[in-house]
Amino acid sequence: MAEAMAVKTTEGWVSERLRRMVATPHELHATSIRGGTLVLIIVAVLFVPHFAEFGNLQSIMYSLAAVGIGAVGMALVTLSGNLFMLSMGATAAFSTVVFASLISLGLLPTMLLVVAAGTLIGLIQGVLIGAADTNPIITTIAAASMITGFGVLWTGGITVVGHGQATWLGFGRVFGLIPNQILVMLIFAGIAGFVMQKTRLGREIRLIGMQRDVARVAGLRLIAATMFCYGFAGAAAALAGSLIASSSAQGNLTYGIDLDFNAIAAVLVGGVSIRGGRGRVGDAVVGAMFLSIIGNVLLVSGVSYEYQLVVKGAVVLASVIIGALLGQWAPRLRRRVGAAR
Amino acid sequence: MTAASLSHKPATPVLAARDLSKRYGGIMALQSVGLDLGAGEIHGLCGENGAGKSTFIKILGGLVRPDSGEISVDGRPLALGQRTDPQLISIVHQELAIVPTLSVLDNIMLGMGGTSPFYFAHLVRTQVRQGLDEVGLAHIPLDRKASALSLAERQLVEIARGVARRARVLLLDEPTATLSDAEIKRVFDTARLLRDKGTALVFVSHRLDEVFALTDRVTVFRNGQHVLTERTSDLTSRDLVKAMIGRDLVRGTQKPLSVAADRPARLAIAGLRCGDALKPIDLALAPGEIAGVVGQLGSGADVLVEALAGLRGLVDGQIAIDGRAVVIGSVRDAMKAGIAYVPEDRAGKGIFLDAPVWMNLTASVMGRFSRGGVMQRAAERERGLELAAMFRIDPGRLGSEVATLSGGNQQKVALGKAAALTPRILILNEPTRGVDIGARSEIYATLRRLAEQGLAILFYSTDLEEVLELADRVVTIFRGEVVRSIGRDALDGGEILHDILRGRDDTIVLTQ
Repeated sequence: MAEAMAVKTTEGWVSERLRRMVATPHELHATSIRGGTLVLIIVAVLFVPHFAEFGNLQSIMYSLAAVGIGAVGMALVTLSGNLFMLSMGATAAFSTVVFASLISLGLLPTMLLVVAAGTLIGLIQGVLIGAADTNPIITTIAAASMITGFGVLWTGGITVVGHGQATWLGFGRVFGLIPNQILVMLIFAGIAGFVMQKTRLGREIRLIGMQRDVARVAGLRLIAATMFCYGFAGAAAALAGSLIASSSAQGNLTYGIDLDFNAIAAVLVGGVSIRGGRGRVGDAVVGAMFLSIIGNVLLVSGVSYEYQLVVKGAVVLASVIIGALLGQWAPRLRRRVGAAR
Repeated sequence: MTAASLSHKPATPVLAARDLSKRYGGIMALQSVGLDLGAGEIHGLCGENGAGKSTFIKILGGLVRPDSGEISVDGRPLALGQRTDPQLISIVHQELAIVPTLSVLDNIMLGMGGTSPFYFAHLVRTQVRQGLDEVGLAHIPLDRKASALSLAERQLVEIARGVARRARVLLLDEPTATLSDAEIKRVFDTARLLRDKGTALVFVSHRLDEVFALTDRVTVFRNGQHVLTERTSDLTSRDLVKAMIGRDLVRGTQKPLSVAADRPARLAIAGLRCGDALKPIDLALAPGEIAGVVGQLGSGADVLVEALAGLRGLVDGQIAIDGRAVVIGSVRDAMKAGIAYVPEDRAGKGIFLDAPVWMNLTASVMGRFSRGGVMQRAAERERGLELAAMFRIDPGRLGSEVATLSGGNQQKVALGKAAALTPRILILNEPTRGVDIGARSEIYATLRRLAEQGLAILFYSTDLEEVLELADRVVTIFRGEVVRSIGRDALDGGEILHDILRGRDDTIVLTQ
C-alpha cells in the first residue's frame, strides 16, 4: 500500500492538484481570484493607457505593500476562526507616530522597536480573546479606541516629524525596479505562509479555526494559537505603519487608519473563508493585489476618488456574494469531481 | 387501510400515519411504518436507539420530509415536510426548548400563533392558568423566570406548553428521563386527564414499567421497521424487550478473554464523583479488557467517560493507571496519562471534517512529528499509512477531506486519531453511532485486536446489541451509581435493560 502512495505519476499529481484547486468553496474562490487578477493585469496592460508605464507600476507597488502586510496579519486572525481584528488601523496609525518619534535612532532599531510594540499590543488582545474568551470583534474595537486615545494623549493630535534617515524603506529599490517595501512584504508573507503551512503551530491554528470543539477534544493548544495570531497581526499592523511613515518620515494618527477595511477587503476578495481554517496567507496577498490594481486602473482612467470607494466596496460585496453562492454550488461540483475519479 | 397487525382498530383515528419511509444516504431510517391513534388513547412507542423513533417524531412535527407516505389528523391530510400546526400535533421534545430569560407564561406561549401581531401576557394568562389547572398542573408558577426552575420543572413547563395548545395529538418524547418519581406521577396524572378529555397521546419511553403503567396500546419499531402494535395488557415485559432487541439476538463471535483477578488493574477508579451526575463510583479495568458502561439518558454513564477524558474538569476521587495515581483536569492531562478518547458527536467533536484524512489522524500527536516546530511530513505520512492499515482506511483517500467519506470511514478516522496517541486506555463514547453494519464489524474486529495487544478499552453505548457484541464485561449504571458488573458469560440483554431502567429496585420481573 505504501508503494501505491509513493509512486504517483506526474499526470496523477497534476489532476490531484487541479482537484484541490476547486475542491472546496474557498479554494474555488481563491483559484478564480488568482485567474481574475491575471486577466485584470492583461486587460489593463492592453487597454488602459498609461497603466503599463514604469512610474505607474511603481505606484501600484507602493500602494500594495502596506495593505499586503496588513492583509497577511488579518488572514491569520481570520484563519484562527476569530473573524477580524478591528484594531489594526489604530495600531498602524499609532505606529507611524512611534516610528517618526524614534527614527533618529536609525532605521533598523526603529523598525524593531515599532514592531515589538505592535506585537505587544496584539498579544494583550490575544490573551483576552484566547484565555478570557472575550468576543474578538468587541475586544479589538475597544482596543482600537484605547490605542487611538493613548496616541492622542502622547502626540497632542499633531503630526510628528521624524529626524532621521528612513529612505531605504521609503524610496529604496532592488535593482532600481522593485521597491524595498515590496521586498519587505514578500518576506513577511513568506514567513507567515511558512508558519501556517509547514509548522505545528500553523496547523494547530488552521484546525482550531476550522472546528474549535474538535480541536479542544484533540488537545490542541487553543490559547497559545490565539495569542500567536493576534501578536502576529499586531506586528503586521506596526510594520505596515512603519512603511507608511517611512516615505515622509512623519507620523500622524490618521495615517494608515483605514488599514482595517483594506486588510479585511483583501482577505475577503482573496477567498479566505470567514468560517476560519480554510484558505492561505497568499490568498490575502492576491486579494490585496487585485484591489490595488482595480484602484489604480480607476485612478489612471481619471475616475474620482469617491467613485473608487464605491467600486472598492462593490468588489468586496461581489466577492462575498460569489463566496456565498460557491458555498452552495461547491458541494455539487465536488460530488461531480469526486465521481469522476 | 389499517395495518394487518393491529389487534384493535380505533373507530375514527385521530392520527393516521401510513407507509412512512425515509432514507438517509445508504441507511433506511424508516421503512414504510404506520401508526393509527384513536381519540382518548395513550399509545406507547418503543424501540432501541436507531430504531427510527426520532425520525418518526420529526416527520410528525414536519421537521423532516419523508420519502413516501401520508399523515392525516381527523381525516385531513397534512402537508408533509412543513412545520405542523401545533394545535393539530404538539410535540414535547426530549431536548428542552426553554428560554431561560423568559417567564414560565411566556415560555408556554412561545410559538403560539394567533392572528394578532401583539402579545399581551395578561390577556392569555387566565386562559392558560385554567388550562393548566384542569390537567393537574396547578402548581406551575406562571411568573417565575424559567432560569430559576429545576431541570424537572422545566420539563413540566415543556409539557404544559403542549397542554396549553390543546392539540389533537400530543407527543411526549421521553418526558420522564430527568424526573423524580413524584414528578413522574404528576406527568402521568396529566396524561390520563388529557386522555379522558379526548386527546390522543403518544408516549415515547425507554422505561418499560412506565409503558406498562400508562399506555393503552404499544407499538415497537426496530431498525426502521414496524415490529408490532398490541394492547399493552396483552403483553408481558419480556415480550416487549424481545420485540425491541430482536429475537435472534446473536452474541459476540469473539472468544471471551479470561481476565485473571490477580492481574494488576490498568485503570482503577475509587470514589469518583462529578457534581450530582455521579455518586462515588469504583471501577477497575484490566489490560486487554473491553468493558462497556451502560445507562439511561441522565444516568451519568456518559459523564463517567467524559470525566476520564478530561472534559469535565477536575473531579473528586482517585484515578490510578497501572498503579500510579494520576490527576485528570483537562484533555491534555488525560492524554499525558495515557488515555485517548473518541467522542460521541463525530462531526461536532470527533473529526475535522474539512481537513484531509492524514491531518486528522495525526492531529493529537503533532508534537511527535515536529522538529523545531516544523512538521516532518515524511514521518507523518508513514504513521498515517500505518494507522490507515490498522483501521482499514483506503490509503488512497488519505489526502481527501474527511467530509467526503462515509459515516463508517469517518468513524474509523476518529478512532485512528485516538489510536495515534498509542494510549494505554482507549475510551469510546458511542463507538459506532451512525455506522453501517459492514464498517461496524470491521471496527469491532480492530478494537478486539488492539485489546489483544494489551490495550484496555472502556466504552459507553446506548446500543444494546453493540454492548452485547463488543463487551467482555458490562457495568450498568442507574442514577449515578453502579448497579452491577456483569461478566461476558452471564451477559443478557434483558438483565442489562432491567438494571439500567430500574436500578437495584426489583419491582418488575422480566423473567416471568
